[in-house]
Amino acid sequence: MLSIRDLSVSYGSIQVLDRLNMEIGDEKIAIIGPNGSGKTTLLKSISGLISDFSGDIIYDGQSIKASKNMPGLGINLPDVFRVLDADARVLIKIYAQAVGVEEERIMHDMVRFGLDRAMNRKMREMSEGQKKIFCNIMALHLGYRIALLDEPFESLDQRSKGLLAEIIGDRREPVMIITHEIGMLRKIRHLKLFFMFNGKLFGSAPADLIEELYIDPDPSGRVLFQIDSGDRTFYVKIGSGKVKLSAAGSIDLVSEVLYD
Amino acid sequence: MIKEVAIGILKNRSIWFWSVLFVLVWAVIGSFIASKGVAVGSEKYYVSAWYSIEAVISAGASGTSIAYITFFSSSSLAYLFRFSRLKPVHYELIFLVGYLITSITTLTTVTAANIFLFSLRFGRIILPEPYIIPVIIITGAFMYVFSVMVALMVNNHFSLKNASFTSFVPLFLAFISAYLPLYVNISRWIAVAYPFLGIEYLLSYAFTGTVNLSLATPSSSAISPAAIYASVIGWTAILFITDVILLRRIKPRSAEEMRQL
Repeated sequence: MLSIRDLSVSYGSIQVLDRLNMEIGDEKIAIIGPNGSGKTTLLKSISGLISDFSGDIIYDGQSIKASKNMPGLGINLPDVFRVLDADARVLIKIYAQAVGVEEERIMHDMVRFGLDRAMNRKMREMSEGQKKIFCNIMALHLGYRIALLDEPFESLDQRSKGLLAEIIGDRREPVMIITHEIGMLRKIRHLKLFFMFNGKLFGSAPADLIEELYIDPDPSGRVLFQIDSGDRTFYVKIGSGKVKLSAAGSIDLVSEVLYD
Repeated sequence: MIKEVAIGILKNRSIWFWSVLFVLVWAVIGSFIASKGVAVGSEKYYVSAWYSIEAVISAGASGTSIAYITFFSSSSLAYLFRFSRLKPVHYELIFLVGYLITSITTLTTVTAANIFLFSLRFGRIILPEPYIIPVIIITGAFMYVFSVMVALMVNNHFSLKNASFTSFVPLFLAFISAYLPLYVNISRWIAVAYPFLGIEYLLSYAFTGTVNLSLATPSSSAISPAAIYASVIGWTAILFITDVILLRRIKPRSAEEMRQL
């Protein structure tokens, strides 16, 4: 489905992604990492919103750089839904027709999240939570082959978080989730967990085992893989370790605890 | 999709404010404040001058909104051209038609308001010729392809710090061009070759039946409307093709990047 080969992205002199390699088949993937580790840049590169990169991204057998009119990849970044500065109802109609998905199915999920009352609003008139729900639903439907979700749980209330986790969990098609909220990943079954630090990808571990995953600077014990964050090296382990991943809440906290 | 696009553009409040309400203030000034001393028999020339200036400014104001919308859509379009069935040429056609529906609505409103106000002022109905309809369509089409070209050129090749200023280029050019035939001697060559003047002459022609190089002097030299039609349509076609080429190479730019400037 998606193959990332030696992907490197720099903003000026700052290298954000460093020769990243990844293969995504028919699976659900979550990438966690601290702020600035390159997660969103990875999603933007895959979706063509950043074109100035070295290496290659192959989507359905074709390089992203050369791809045209290949529907089926959805992404929840708000910049993708700004055509015409139109209201939500018009945007749904335009995107559904352009991609070739059923508008009614999108509306059905909008209603499930209670967003039907905001259909006359433009994206910029929505609250952060409404905007996030709208973009998530659009990405999941437009991405009928693969959906890329950047911080999909951010700004959502508990009910919406649970509902979204349920929808992602029930989905058969591949999803790539980027999040700080480790706790939400427990609710999604069969998720492969990757870690991103300083533009490098490490992993993977099954998120189903998240209650048993630990991060530890000490290599002794049952090590799944090693993470080299640049200035420090630590290990993802099963069974025991310094920081229990599921209890940390956020990967930023993991970093803080480890660095303490 | 044309219906959705037309609805999306029609709901744009800034187009209605600047292209209709703002311009109607000029219509009121032209009909009731500045109209003292208009010679009997020359009313239609007076009306044509005011109307054509207003209509060009109205179209320019819409063009500014279109340029702004295009800037904010760059990432969306880059995504859609890659991951939907939408092709740049289809986008340009669909959005042009969608915009024309809005443009015809706004310019018809401005035209109707002018007819009403000036007829009220002069005590008789002053109507344009029926060929004002194709002129309104050509005006809208030209302004759309021009505004999209300006926005895409900056989006693809320049820093977005120029974006806000560039959005106003259609309005600036419309405003400056609209007053040129009142105060400057326009050569036939410029009248035909410069499309902003061309659409103004055609709008004026719909009221007077002749294209006079000076809008202030009905006896000034007349030129063939056919040449101006051909020129404006030619420019519209060239800019349409330019837009499609620029759309194929559209560079996704962050809306946040533009909003900060």
